[in-house]
Amino acid sequence: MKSDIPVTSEQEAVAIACGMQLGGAKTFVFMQDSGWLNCINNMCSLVYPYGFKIGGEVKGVPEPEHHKRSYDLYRYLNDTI
Amino acid sequence: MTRYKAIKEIMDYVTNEVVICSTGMICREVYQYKDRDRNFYMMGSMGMALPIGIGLAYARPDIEVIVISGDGAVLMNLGSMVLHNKLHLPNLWHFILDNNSYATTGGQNTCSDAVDFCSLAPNTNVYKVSSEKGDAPRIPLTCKQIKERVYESIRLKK
Repeated sequence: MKSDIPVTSEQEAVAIACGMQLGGAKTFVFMQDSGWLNCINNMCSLVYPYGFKIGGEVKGVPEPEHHKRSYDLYRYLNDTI
Repeated sequence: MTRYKAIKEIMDYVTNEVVICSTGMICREVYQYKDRDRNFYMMGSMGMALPIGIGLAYARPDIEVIVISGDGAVLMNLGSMVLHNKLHLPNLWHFILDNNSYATTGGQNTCSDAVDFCSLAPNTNVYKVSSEKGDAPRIPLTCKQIKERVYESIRLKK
């Protein structure tokens, strides 16, 4: 069954994906790059420690205040965890 | 009513439902009173117990899901209550233990007295509980063990 769920925030999207995966579903999360910064807490305390594997795509916009920081953080998380 | 007594009341009713416990003392007290394979202890990510429950109930209409949250956690992510109201999942129950304080960090007040949780979403029950800190020990399981236990116990056999 393919379906999409509209959500109220990026961290909620990540948590819903984790819950769906707990039930055996395959998940994919779409978000904007500044929203990616919004779900760092979830990535560090839910996704990585519990070993969830959620697919995702972060769509970037060419604005410096969004783009650079989130890309730096993405690389930092990938290097450290 | 104490928080432990409210947890006892909920867990005595539970049979084969998946129980998702919110951050902090609720996790520890559920573990202390009744540990089961189908208990998911969400030890970080404050406020994310309800979205995990929504995801699980949405993906698996064949299983019943119970979420136990604190008032502080629900207020931190109030948007999930709205999503719960929108999706109207009949197999998801949400219990909120409202002590009007952040008990884990020393009892600072929350704003839960300014909201009526039951009016926000269906299948929501609020227990007014006292705000003692509690002395339940830490959960001796790793996060991966917790997840694998739940995953294996509800996995569809092919």
